[in-house]
Amino acid sequence: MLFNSIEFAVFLTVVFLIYWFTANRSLNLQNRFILLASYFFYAFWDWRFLVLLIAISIFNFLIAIEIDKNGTKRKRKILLLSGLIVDTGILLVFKYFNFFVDSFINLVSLLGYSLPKNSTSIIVPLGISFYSLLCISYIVDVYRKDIVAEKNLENILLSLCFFPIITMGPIQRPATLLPQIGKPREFDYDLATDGLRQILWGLVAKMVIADNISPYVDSIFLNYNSFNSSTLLLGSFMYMIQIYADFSGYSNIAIGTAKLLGFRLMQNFACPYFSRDIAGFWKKWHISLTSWFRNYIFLPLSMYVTEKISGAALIIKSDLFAYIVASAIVWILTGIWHGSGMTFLLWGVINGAFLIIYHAQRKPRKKLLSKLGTNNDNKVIAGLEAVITLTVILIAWVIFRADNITMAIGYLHKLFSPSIFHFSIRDIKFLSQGAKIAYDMMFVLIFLAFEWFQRDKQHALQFDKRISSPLRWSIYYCLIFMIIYFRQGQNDFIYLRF
Amino acid sequence: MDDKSDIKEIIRNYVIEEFIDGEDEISNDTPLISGGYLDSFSMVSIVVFLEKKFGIKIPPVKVKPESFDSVNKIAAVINDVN
Repeated sequence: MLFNSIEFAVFLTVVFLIYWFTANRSLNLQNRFILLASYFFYAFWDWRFLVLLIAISIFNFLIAIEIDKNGTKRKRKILLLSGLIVDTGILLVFKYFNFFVDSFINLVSLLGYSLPKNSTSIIVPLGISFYSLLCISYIVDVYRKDIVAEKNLENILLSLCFFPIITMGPIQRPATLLPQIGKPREFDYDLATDGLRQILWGLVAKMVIADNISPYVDSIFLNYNSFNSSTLLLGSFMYMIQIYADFSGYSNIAIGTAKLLGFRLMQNFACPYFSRDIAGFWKKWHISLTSWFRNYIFLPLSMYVTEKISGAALIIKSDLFAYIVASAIVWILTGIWHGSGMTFLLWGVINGAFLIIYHAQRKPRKKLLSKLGTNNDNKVIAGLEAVITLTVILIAWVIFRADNITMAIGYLHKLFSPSIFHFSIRDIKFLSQGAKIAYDMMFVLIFLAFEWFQRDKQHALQFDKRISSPLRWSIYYCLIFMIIYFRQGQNDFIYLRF
Repeated sequence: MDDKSDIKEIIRNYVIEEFIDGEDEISNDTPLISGGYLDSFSMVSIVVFLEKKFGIKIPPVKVKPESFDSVNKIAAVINDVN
Protein backbone atom coordinates (compact mmCIF):
# COMPACT_ATOMS: atom_id res chain seq x y z
CA MET A 1 0.00 0.00 0.00
CA LEU A 2 2.12 2.87 -1.30
CA PHE A 3 1.48 6.39 -0.01
CA ASN A 4 0.72 7.42 -3.61
CA SER A 5 -1.93 4.74 -4.16
CA ILE A 6 -5.73 4.78 -4.15
CA GLU A 7 -5.65 2.00 -1.52
CA PHE A 8 -3.76 4.28 0.86
CA ALA A 9 -6.17 7.18 0.22
CA VAL A 10 -9.11 4.90 1.12
CA PHE A 11 -7.25 3.42 4.13
CA LEU A 12 -6.32 6.87 5.47
CA THR A 13 -9.85 8.21 5.04
CA VAL A 14 -11.37 5.26 6.90
CA VAL A 15 -8.74 5.45 9.67
CA PHE A 16 -9.22 9.22 10.01
CA LEU A 17 -13.04 8.95 10.32
CA ILE A 18 -13.05 6.06 12.81
CA TYR A 19 -10.17 7.60 14.79
CA TRP A 20 -11.83 10.99 15.34
CA PHE A 21 -15.50 10.01 15.33
CA THR A 22 -15.67 6.58 17.00
CA ALA A 23 -12.38 5.79 18.73
CA ASN A 24 -12.11 9.23 20.32
CA ARG A 25 -14.01 8.17 23.46
CA SER A 26 -10.77 7.39 25.27
CA LEU A 27 -7.03 7.62 24.72
CA ASN A 28 -6.66 3.85 25.11
CA LEU A 29 -9.22 3.21 22.41
CA GLN A 30 -7.55 5.71 20.07
CA ASN A 31 -4.11 4.18 20.62
CA ARG A 32 -5.40 0.64 20.28
CA PHE A 33 -7.16 1.54 17.03
CA ILE A 34 -4.05 3.19 15.55
CA LEU A 35 -1.99 0.17 16.60
CA LEU A 36 -4.37 -2.20 14.80
CA ALA A 37 -4.48 0.11 11.77
CA SER A 38 -0.64 0.17 11.73
CA TYR A 39 -0.43 -3.64 11.85
CA PHE A 40 -3.06 -3.87 9.09
CA PHE A 41 -1.02 -1.40 7.00
CA TYR A 42 2.17 -3.44 7.57
CA ALA A 43 0.45 -6.78 6.92
CA PHE A 44 -0.97 -5.37 3.67
CA TRP A 45 2.64 -5.13 2.44
CA ASP A 46 3.77 -8.52 3.73
CA TRP A 47 1.95 -10.28 6.58
CA ARG A 48 4.78 -12.83 7.04
CA PHE A 49 7.06 -10.30 8.71
CA LEU A 50 4.43 -8.91 11.04
CA VAL A 51 5.31 -11.60 13.60
CA LEU A 52 8.96 -10.51 13.43
CA LEU A 53 8.01 -6.86 13.97
CA ILE A 54 5.82 -7.71 16.97
CA ALA A 55 8.45 -10.06 18.44
CA ILE A 56 11.22 -7.43 18.17
CA SER A 57 8.95 -4.80 19.74
CA ILE A 58 8.07 -7.07 22.69
CA PHE A 59 11.71 -8.04 23.15
CA ASN A 60 12.81 -4.38 23.34
CA PHE A 61 9.90 -3.57 25.67
CA LEU A 62 11.06 -6.29 28.10
CA ILE A 63 14.78 -5.50 27.83
CA ALA A 64 14.11 -1.80 28.54
CA ILE A 65 12.10 -2.68 31.67
CA GLU A 66 14.91 -4.94 32.88
CA ILE A 67 17.53 -2.21 32.23
CA ASP A 68 15.40 0.25 34.16
CA LYS A 69 14.89 -2.15 37.10
CA ASN A 70 18.52 -3.13 37.58
CA GLY A 71 20.63 -0.89 39.74
CA THR A 72 24.11 -2.23 39.04
CA LYS A 73 25.99 -0.75 36.13
CA ARG A 74 27.36 -4.14 35.08
CA LYS A 75 23.91 -5.78 34.82
CA ARG A 76 22.51 -2.79 32.95
CA LYS A 77 25.40 -2.92 30.50
CA ILE A 78 24.95 -6.67 29.90
CA LEU A 79 21.22 -6.16 29.25
CA LEU A 80 21.91 -3.25 26.89
CA LEU A 81 24.51 -5.29 25.00
CA SER A 82 22.07 -8.22 24.69
CA GLY A 83 19.48 -5.86 23.25
CA LEU A 84 21.95 -4.30 20.83
CA ILE A 85 23.21 -7.71 19.67
CA VAL A 86 19.66 -8.89 18.92
CA ASP A 87 18.57 -5.63 17.20
CA THR A 88 21.68 -5.29 15.05
CA GLY A 89 21.90 -9.06 14.54
CA ILE A 90 18.42 -9.19 13.02
CA LEU A 91 19.26 -6.24 10.77
CA LEU A 92 22.53 -7.84 9.66
CA VAL A 93 21.00 -11.25 9.00
CA PHE A 94 18.04 -10.02 7.00
CA LYS A 95 19.71 -7.18 5.16
CA TYR A 96 23.23 -8.46 4.54
CA PHE A 97 22.97 -12.28 4.61
CA ASN A 98 22.89 -12.57 0.81
CA PHE A 99 25.84 -10.18 0.49
CA PHE A 100 27.93 -12.09 3.06
CA VAL A 101 27.24 -15.47 1.45
CA ASP A 102 27.94 -14.21 -2.09
CA SER A 103 31.14 -12.47 -0.92
CA PHE A 104 32.30 -15.66 0.81
CA ILE A 105 31.66 -17.73 -2.33
CA ASN A 106 33.56 -15.17 -4.46
CA LEU A 107 36.47 -15.13 -1.98
CA VAL A 108 36.71 -18.92 -1.97
CA SER A 109 36.62 -18.97 -5.77
CA LEU A 110 39.51 -16.47 -5.85
CA LEU A 111 41.53 -18.99 -3.82
CA GLY A 112 40.95 -21.57 -6.52
CA TYR A 113 38.12 -23.55 -4.89
CA SER A 114 34.58 -23.65 -6.12
CA LEU A 115 31.37 -23.60 -4.10
CA PRO A 116 27.80 -23.97 -5.40
CA LYS A 117 26.01 -20.67 -6.05
CA ASN A 118 23.95 -19.23 -3.20
CA SER A 119 20.45 -20.59 -3.64
CA THR A 120 19.07 -19.25 -0.33
CA SER A 121 17.96 -15.71 -0.96
CA ILE A 122 16.59 -13.96 2.14
CA ILE A 123 13.77 -11.48 1.61
CA VAL A 124 14.38 -8.21 3.46
CA PRO A 125 11.44 -7.34 5.76
CA LEU A 126 9.90 -3.99 4.92
CA GLY A 127 11.15 -1.12 7.09
CA ILE A 128 13.68 -3.24 9.00
CA SER A 129 16.46 -0.64 8.53
CA PHE A 130 14.19 1.94 10.10
CA TYR A 131 12.55 0.09 12.99
CA SER A 132 15.87 -1.52 14.03
CA LEU A 133 17.22 2.01 14.62
CA LEU A 134 14.07 2.92 16.58
CA CYS A 135 14.56 -0.12 18.84
CA ILE A 136 18.25 0.65 19.40
CA SER A 137 17.56 4.29 20.25
CA TYR A 138 14.84 3.25 22.73
CA ILE A 139 16.96 0.87 24.81
CA VAL A 140 20.00 3.19 24.67
CA ASP A 141 17.87 6.13 25.90
CA VAL A 142 16.59 3.98 28.78
CA TYR A 143 20.14 2.84 29.58
CA ARG A 144 21.37 6.45 29.60
CA LYS A 145 18.40 7.33 31.85
CA ASP A 146 17.21 9.94 29.36
CA ILE A 147 13.78 8.28 29.58
CA VAL A 148 12.19 5.69 31.85
CA ALA A 149 11.13 2.36 30.37
CA GLU A 150 7.54 2.41 29.13
CA LYS A 151 5.33 0.11 31.20
CA ASN A 152 2.43 0.02 28.74
CA LEU A 153 3.16 -2.62 26.08
CA GLU A 154 0.63 -1.20 23.62
CA ASN A 155 2.35 2.19 23.70
CA ILE A 156 5.72 0.64 22.82
CA LEU A 157 4.19 -1.50 20.09
CA LEU A 158 2.63 1.63 18.61
CA SER A 159 5.80 3.74 18.86
CA LEU A 160 7.70 1.06 16.90
CA CYS A 161 5.10 0.43 14.19
CA PHE A 162 3.19 3.74 13.75
CA PHE A 163 2.03 3.40 10.13
CA PRO A 164 3.12 6.82 8.79
CA ILE A 165 6.75 6.04 9.72
CA ILE A 166 7.09 2.24 9.68
CA THR A 167 8.18 1.82 6.04
CA MET A 168 10.72 4.64 5.50
CA GLY A 169 10.80 6.90 8.54
CA PRO A 170 11.23 9.67 9.62
CA ILE A 171 13.17 7.82 12.32
CA GLN A 172 11.11 9.34 15.13
CA ARG A 173 12.77 8.12 18.31
CA PRO A 174 10.35 6.53 20.82
CA ALA A 175 11.70 9.07 23.34
CA THR A 176 9.90 11.80 21.39
CA LEU A 177 6.90 9.76 20.18
CA LEU A 178 5.96 8.05 23.47
CA PRO A 179 5.02 11.31 25.25
CA GLN A 180 2.62 12.08 22.36
CA ILE A 181 1.15 8.56 22.49
CA GLY A 182 0.55 8.91 26.23
CA LYS A 183 -1.18 12.30 25.96
CA PRO A 184 -4.91 12.75 25.12
CA ARG A 185 -5.33 14.12 21.60
CA GLU A 186 -8.08 16.52 20.63
CA PHE A 187 -8.87 17.22 16.98
CA ASP A 188 -6.84 20.27 15.93
CA TYR A 189 -8.30 21.80 12.76
CA ASP A 190 -5.21 23.91 11.96
CA LEU A 191 -2.85 20.96 12.44
CA ALA A 192 -5.04 18.69 10.31
CA THR A 193 -5.34 21.18 7.42
CA ASP A 194 -1.60 21.83 7.57
CA GLY A 195 -1.17 18.05 7.37
CA LEU A 196 -3.38 17.91 4.26
CA ARG A 197 -1.35 20.66 2.59
CA GLN A 198 1.87 18.83 3.45
CA ILE A 199 0.48 15.60 1.96
CA LEU A 200 -0.50 17.52 -1.19
CA TRP A 201 3.03 18.92 -1.57
CA GLY A 202 4.49 15.47 -0.96
CA LEU A 203 2.28 13.96 -3.67
CA VAL A 204 3.28 16.72 -6.12
CA ALA A 205 6.97 16.08 -5.41
CA LYS A 206 6.59 12.33 -5.90
CA MET A 207 4.01 12.05 -8.68
CA VAL A 208 4.65 15.17 -10.76
CA ILE A 209 8.39 15.64 -10.29
CA ALA A 210 10.15 12.40 -9.27
CA ASP A 211 8.05 9.97 -11.32
CA ASN A 212 8.17 12.12 -14.46
CA ILE A 213 11.94 12.55 -14.52
CA SER A 214 12.66 8.98 -13.45
CA PRO A 215 12.45 7.52 -17.05
CA TYR A 216 15.06 10.07 -18.30
CA VAL A 217 17.39 9.19 -15.43
CA ASP A 218 16.96 5.45 -16.02
CA SER A 219 17.58 5.84 -19.74
CA ILE A 220 20.67 8.05 -19.33
CA PHE A 221 22.27 5.81 -16.69
CA LEU A 222 21.50 2.66 -18.65
CA ASN A 223 22.94 4.01 -21.92
CA TYR A 224 25.56 6.40 -20.53
CA ASN A 225 28.13 5.21 -23.08
CA SER A 226 26.01 6.43 -25.98
CA PHE A 227 25.30 9.91 -24.64
CA ASN A 228 27.12 13.21 -24.82
CA SER A 229 28.71 14.56 -21.60
CA SER A 230 26.23 17.42 -21.40
CA THR A 231 23.41 14.82 -21.42
CA LEU A 232 25.16 12.91 -18.62
CA LEU A 233 25.33 16.17 -16.68
CA LEU A 234 21.59 16.60 -17.25
CA GLY A 235 21.04 12.99 -16.11
CA SER A 236 22.97 13.47 -12.88
CA PHE A 237 21.20 16.76 -12.20
CA MET A 238 17.86 15.03 -12.81
CA TYR A 239 18.76 12.22 -10.42
CA MET A 240 19.70 14.79 -7.80
CA ILE A 241 16.20 16.24 -8.13
CA GLN A 242 14.51 12.85 -8.44
CA ILE A 243 15.91 11.41 -5.22
CA TYR A 244 15.13 14.62 -3.34
CA ALA A 245 11.56 14.90 -4.70
CA ASP A 246 10.98 11.20 -4.11
CA PHE A 247 12.23 11.01 -0.52
CA SER A 248 11.22 14.46 0.68
CA GLY A 249 7.84 13.80 -0.98
CA TYR A 250 7.48 10.59 0.98
CA SER A 251 8.53 12.35 4.22
CA ASN A 252 6.01 15.15 3.67
CA ILE A 253 3.22 12.61 3.16
CA ALA A 254 4.30 10.71 6.31
CA ILE A 255 4.51 13.86 8.45
CA GLY A 256 1.24 15.21 7.03
CA THR A 257 -0.52 11.89 7.71
CA ALA A 258 0.69 11.94 11.32
CA LYS A 259 -0.61 15.53 11.67
CA LEU A 260 -4.07 14.36 10.55
CA LEU A 261 -4.01 12.01 13.55
CA GLY A 262 -2.78 14.69 15.95
CA PHE A 263 0.93 13.70 16.01
CA ARG A 264 3.89 15.99 15.31
CA LEU A 265 6.87 14.28 13.72
CA MET A 266 10.33 15.72 13.23
CA GLN A 267 11.21 17.48 9.98
CA ASN A 268 13.19 15.17 7.69
CA PHE A 269 14.28 17.63 4.96
CA ALA A 270 14.88 21.38 5.01
CA CYS A 271 15.74 22.34 1.39
CA PRO A 272 19.22 20.74 1.56
CA TYR A 273 20.31 21.75 -1.97
CA PHE A 274 20.22 25.42 -0.97
CA SER A 275 23.09 24.88 1.49
CA ARG A 276 26.37 26.67 0.91
CA ASP A 277 28.55 23.91 2.40
CA ILE A 278 28.53 20.15 2.94
CA ALA A 279 27.97 20.47 6.70
CA GLY A 280 24.88 22.59 5.98
CA PHE A 281 23.67 20.01 3.44
CA TRP A 282 23.89 17.17 5.96
CA LYS A 283 22.05 19.22 8.58
CA LYS A 284 19.13 19.39 6.14
CA TRP A 285 19.12 16.03 4.32
CA HIS A 286 17.42 13.01 5.91
CA ILE A 287 17.66 14.79 9.26
CA SER A 288 16.20 11.91 11.26
CA LEU A 289 18.92 9.51 10.05
CA THR A 290 21.84 11.94 10.40
CA SER A 291 20.74 12.96 13.90
CA TRP A 292 20.35 9.27 14.84
CA PHE A 293 23.92 8.54 13.72
CA ARG A 294 25.15 11.68 15.51
CA ASN A 295 23.46 10.82 18.81
CA TYR A 296 24.05 7.07 18.95
CA ILE A 297 27.32 6.48 17.06
CA PHE A 298 29.27 9.67 16.38
CA LEU A 299 29.16 11.40 19.79
CA PRO A 300 29.82 8.29 21.94
CA LEU A 301 32.58 7.20 19.56
CA SER A 302 34.28 10.59 19.41
CA MET A 303 34.13 10.88 23.22
CA TYR A 304 35.73 7.44 23.48
CA VAL A 305 38.51 8.39 21.03
CA THR A 306 39.09 11.70 22.82
CA GLU A 307 39.55 9.88 26.10
CA LYS A 308 41.91 7.31 24.58
CA ILE A 309 44.18 9.90 22.93
CA SER A 310 44.22 12.24 25.91
CA GLY A 311 47.83 13.32 26.49
CA ALA A 312 49.11 11.60 23.32
CA ALA A 313 51.41 13.55 20.97
CA LEU A 314 49.53 14.10 17.71
CA ILE A 315 50.38 16.11 14.63
CA ILE A 316 46.81 17.43 14.47
CA LYS A 317 44.56 18.77 17.23
CA SER A 318 42.90 16.07 19.32
CA ASP A 319 39.34 17.24 18.51
CA LEU A 320 40.05 17.02 14.77
CA PHE A 321 41.65 13.59 15.21
CA ALA A 322 38.61 12.30 17.15
CA TYR A 323 36.32 13.82 14.52
CA ILE A 324 38.20 12.14 11.66
CA VAL A 325 38.11 8.69 13.30
CA ALA A 326 34.44 8.92 14.37
CA SER A 327 33.37 10.46 11.05
CA ALA A 328 35.13 7.79 9.00
CA ILE A 329 33.31 5.04 10.91
CA VAL A 330 29.95 6.83 10.89
CA TRP A 331 30.04 7.51 7.14
CA ILE A 332 31.06 3.96 6.30
CA LEU A 333 28.10 2.80 8.41
CA THR A 334 25.78 5.38 6.82
CA GLY A 335 26.83 4.16 3.38
CA ILE A 336 26.26 0.47 4.11
CA TRP A 337 23.04 1.20 5.98
CA HIS A 338 21.63 2.05 2.53
CA GLY A 339 22.76 -1.27 1.07
CA SER A 340 25.54 -3.79 0.84
CA GLY A 341 26.85 -2.63 -2.57
CA MET A 342 30.24 -0.99 -2.96
CA THR A 343 28.59 2.06 -4.52
CA PHE A 344 26.86 2.89 -1.22
CA LEU A 345 30.10 2.43 0.69
CA LEU A 346 31.94 4.75 -1.72
CA TRP A 347 29.11 7.30 -1.51
CA GLY A 348 29.46 7.32 2.29
CA VAL A 349 33.26 7.62 2.10
CA ILE A 350 33.06 10.59 -0.30
CA ASN A 351 30.60 12.45 1.92
CA GLY A 352 32.66 11.69 5.04
CA ALA A 353 35.91 12.76 3.37
CA PHE A 354 34.40 16.02 2.14
CA LEU A 355 33.06 16.79 5.61
CA ILE A 356 36.49 16.13 7.14
CA ILE A 357 38.15 18.41 4.57
CA TYR A 358 35.51 21.05 5.26
CA HIS A 359 36.19 21.05 9.00
CA ALA A 360 39.98 20.87 8.59
CA GLN A 361 40.05 23.97 6.36
CA ARG A 362 37.61 26.09 8.36
CA LYS A 363 40.05 27.76 10.71
CA PRO A 364 42.84 28.45 8.18
CA ARG A 365 40.22 29.82 5.80
CA LYS A 366 38.83 32.13 8.47
CA LYS A 367 42.34 33.51 9.06
CA LEU A 368 42.95 33.89 5.32
CA LEU A 369 39.66 35.72 4.77
CA SER A 370 40.45 38.02 7.68
CA LYS A 371 43.86 38.83 6.11
CA LEU A 372 42.09 39.59 2.83
CA GLY A 373 39.80 42.00 4.69
CA THR A 374 36.62 39.99 4.20
CA ASN A 375 34.65 37.26 5.98
CA ASN A 376 32.31 34.39 5.39
CA ASP A 377 29.36 36.68 4.62
CA ASN A 378 31.02 37.59 1.30
CA LYS A 379 28.45 36.76 -1.42
CA VAL A 380 31.04 35.71 -4.04
CA ILE A 381 32.69 33.28 -1.64
CA ALA A 382 29.28 31.93 -0.58
CA GLY A 383 28.29 31.40 -4.22
CA LEU A 384 31.55 29.64 -5.10
CA GLU A 385 31.28 27.44 -2.06
CA ALA A 386 27.69 26.49 -2.94
CA VAL A 387 28.76 25.51 -6.49
CA ILE A 388 31.63 23.34 -5.19
CA THR A 389 29.31 21.71 -2.65
CA LEU A 390 26.66 20.93 -5.27
CA THR A 391 29.32 19.48 -7.60
CA VAL A 392 30.58 17.09 -4.91
CA ILE A 393 27.01 16.11 -3.98
CA LEU A 394 26.24 15.51 -7.66
CA ILE A 395 29.31 13.25 -8.05
CA ALA A 396 28.32 11.35 -4.91
CA TRP A 397 24.75 10.87 -6.22
CA VAL A 398 26.05 9.48 -9.53
CA ILE A 399 27.94 6.83 -7.54
CA PHE A 400 24.88 6.18 -5.36
CA ARG A 401 22.65 5.71 -8.42
CA ALA A 402 25.05 3.57 -10.47
CA ASP A 403 24.44 -0.18 -10.57
CA ASN A 404 28.08 -0.90 -9.72
CA ILE A 405 31.48 0.76 -9.34
CA THR A 406 32.46 0.13 -12.97
CA MET A 407 29.35 1.96 -14.15
CA ALA A 408 29.97 4.81 -11.68
CA ILE A 409 33.57 5.31 -12.84
CA GLY A 410 32.57 5.01 -16.50
CA TYR A 411 29.77 7.56 -16.07
CA LEU A 412 31.95 10.07 -14.21
CA HIS A 413 34.83 9.61 -16.65
CA LYS A 414 32.57 10.40 -19.57
CA LEU A 415 30.80 13.19 -17.68
CA PHE A 416 34.01 15.18 -17.15
CA SER A 417 35.09 15.35 -20.78
CA PRO A 418 35.21 18.34 -23.20
CA SER A 419 31.84 17.44 -24.75
CA ILE A 420 30.22 18.66 -21.52
CA PHE A 421 29.99 22.05 -23.24
CA HIS A 422 28.27 20.66 -26.37
CA PHE A 423 24.51 20.41 -26.19
CA SER A 424 23.22 17.39 -28.11
CA ILE A 425 19.85 17.68 -29.85
CA ARG A 426 20.15 14.01 -30.90
CA ASP A 427 20.30 12.90 -27.23
CA ILE A 428 17.30 15.00 -26.25
CA LYS A 429 15.27 13.64 -29.18
CA PHE A 430 16.20 10.12 -28.07
CA LEU A 431 15.10 10.84 -24.49
CA SER A 432 11.84 12.62 -25.14
CA GLN A 433 8.89 12.39 -27.48
CA GLY A 434 8.00 15.93 -28.53
CA ALA A 435 8.30 18.67 -25.93
CA LYS A 436 7.64 16.51 -22.86
CA ILE A 437 11.14 16.99 -21.49
CA ALA A 438 10.70 20.78 -21.70
CA TYR A 439 7.46 20.58 -19.66
CA ASP A 440 9.09 18.30 -17.11
CA MET A 441 12.08 20.61 -16.70
CA MET A 442 9.72 23.56 -16.34
CA PHE A 443 7.91 21.70 -13.53
CA VAL A 444 11.27 21.01 -11.87
CA LEU A 445 12.10 24.72 -11.96
CA ILE A 446 8.68 25.67 -10.55
CA PHE A 447 9.11 23.03 -7.83
CA LEU A 448 12.56 24.39 -6.91
CA ALA A 449 11.23 27.97 -6.94
CA PHE A 450 8.46 27.02 -4.49
CA GLU A 451 10.99 25.28 -2.27
CA TRP A 452 13.29 28.33 -2.40
CA PHE A 453 10.63 30.90 -1.53
CA GLN A 454 9.28 28.70 1.27
CA ARG A 455 12.67 27.47 2.49
CA ASP A 456 12.15 28.74 6.04
CA LYS A 457 8.89 26.81 6.41
CA GLN A 458 8.30 23.15 7.27
CA HIS A 459 6.90 22.58 3.78
CA ALA A 460 6.30 24.65 0.67
CA LEU A 461 2.54 25.02 1.11
CA GLN A 462 2.76 26.61 4.56
CA PHE A 463 1.75 30.06 3.31
CA ASP A 464 1.87 33.35 5.16
CA LYS A 465 -1.34 35.30 5.72
CA ARG A 466 -0.02 37.75 3.10
CA ILE A 467 -1.03 35.23 0.42
CA SER A 468 -4.72 35.79 -0.18
CA SER A 469 -7.22 32.97 0.19
CA PRO A 470 -8.24 32.89 -3.53
CA LEU A 471 -4.59 32.68 -4.57
CA ARG A 472 -3.91 29.87 -2.08
CA TRP A 473 -6.92 27.88 -3.27
CA SER A 474 -5.94 28.45 -6.91
CA ILE A 475 -2.52 27.00 -6.12
CA TYR A 476 -4.07 23.95 -4.38
CA TYR A 477 -6.41 23.27 -7.31
CA CYS A 478 -3.56 23.71 -9.82
CA LEU A 479 -1.45 21.21 -7.90
CA ILE A 480 -4.31 18.70 -7.67
CA PHE A 481 -4.88 19.09 -11.41
CA MET A 482 -1.17 18.52 -12.06
CA ILE A 483 -1.22 15.31 -10.00
CA ILE A 484 -4.25 13.98 -11.86
CA TYR A 485 -3.05 15.02 -15.32
CA PHE A 486 0.71 14.38 -15.13
CA ARG A 487 0.98 11.36 -12.81
CA GLN A 488 2.88 8.39 -14.19
CA GLY A 489 1.15 5.31 -12.79
CA GLN A 490 2.08 4.11 -9.34
CA ASN A 491 5.83 3.95 -8.82
CA ASP A 492 7.74 2.70 -5.76
CA PHE A 493 9.60 5.15 -3.57
CA ILE A 494 13.40 4.93 -3.97
CA TYR A 495 14.06 4.56 -0.23
CA LEU A 496 11.66 1.63 0.05
CA ARG A 497 14.47 -0.66 -1.02
CA PHE A 498 16.67 0.47 1.89
CA MET B 1 37.17 27.32 39.14
CA ASP B 2 35.96 30.58 37.60
CA ASP B 3 32.56 31.88 38.70
CA LYS B 4 29.42 31.32 36.61
CA SER B 5 29.53 34.53 34.58
CA ASP B 6 33.20 33.94 33.76
CA ILE B 7 32.43 30.42 32.61
CA LYS B 8 29.74 31.71 30.25
CA GLU B 9 32.07 34.41 28.95
CA ILE B 10 34.81 31.84 28.26
CA ILE B 11 32.37 29.54 26.44
CA ARG B 12 30.85 32.36 24.38
CA ASN B 13 34.26 33.71 23.35
CA TYR B 14 35.40 30.25 22.33
CA VAL B 15 32.26 29.64 20.26
CA ILE B 16 32.55 33.03 18.52
CA GLU B 17 36.28 32.66 17.89
CA GLU B 18 36.08 29.10 16.56
CA PHE B 19 32.71 28.63 14.93
CA ILE B 20 31.08 31.92 13.99
CA ASP B 21 32.29 32.89 10.55
CA GLY B 22 30.19 35.95 9.84
CA GLU B 23 29.14 38.89 12.00
CA ASP B 24 26.22 37.27 13.85
CA GLU B 25 25.65 38.32 17.46
CA ILE B 26 25.71 35.46 19.93
CA SER B 27 24.02 35.80 23.32
CA ASN B 28 23.97 33.27 26.15
CA ASP B 29 20.55 32.07 24.97
CA THR B 30 21.16 31.94 21.21
CA PRO B 31 20.24 28.44 19.97
CA LEU B 32 23.61 27.16 18.81
CA ILE B 33 22.78 23.73 17.39
CA SER B 34 19.18 24.25 16.27
CA GLY B 35 20.29 27.69 15.00
CA GLY B 36 22.90 26.03 12.76
CA TYR B 37 26.00 27.54 14.42
CA LEU B 38 27.34 24.31 15.91
CA ASP B 39 27.49 20.81 14.49
CA SER B 40 28.90 17.44 15.55
CA PHE B 41 32.50 18.59 15.08
CA SER B 42 31.94 21.75 17.13
CA MET B 43 30.50 19.69 19.98
CA VAL B 44 33.62 17.52 20.11
CA SER B 45 35.83 20.64 19.99
CA ILE B 46 33.91 22.32 22.81
CA VAL B 47 34.14 19.22 25.02
CA VAL B 48 37.91 18.95 24.46
CA PHE B 49 38.32 22.69 25.11
CA LEU B 50 36.22 22.67 28.30
CA GLU B 51 37.94 19.60 29.71
CA LYS B 52 41.35 21.20 29.19
CA LYS B 53 40.36 24.66 30.32
CA PHE B 54 38.59 23.66 33.54
CA GLY B 55 40.41 20.40 34.26
CA ILE B 56 37.18 18.43 34.31
CA LYS B 57 35.90 15.23 32.74
CA ILE B 58 32.53 15.51 31.00
CA PRO B 59 30.86 12.06 30.98
CA PRO B 60 29.87 10.92 27.44
CA VAL B 61 26.20 10.60 28.52
CA LYS B 62 26.17 14.38 29.12
CA VAL B 63 27.38 15.12 25.60
CA LYS B 64 23.99 15.51 23.91
CA PRO B 65 22.83 18.08 21.34
CA GLU B 66 20.09 19.28 23.77
CA SER B 67 22.74 20.05 26.41
CA PHE B 68 24.92 22.03 24.00
CA ASP B 69 22.24 24.18 22.38
CA SER B 70 23.21 27.47 24.08
CA VAL B 71 26.00 29.01 26.13
CA ASN B 72 23.73 28.78 29.21
CA LYS B 73 23.11 25.07 28.66
CA ILE B 74 26.81 24.32 28.16
CA ALA B 75 27.58 26.23 31.38
CA ALA B 76 24.94 24.12 33.15
CA VAL B 77 26.73 20.95 32.00
CA ILE B 78 29.97 22.24 33.56
CA ASN B 79 28.18 23.07 36.80
CA ASP B 80 26.63 19.57 36.87
CA VAL B 81 30.01 17.94 36.38
CA ASN B 82 31.41 19.93 39.29
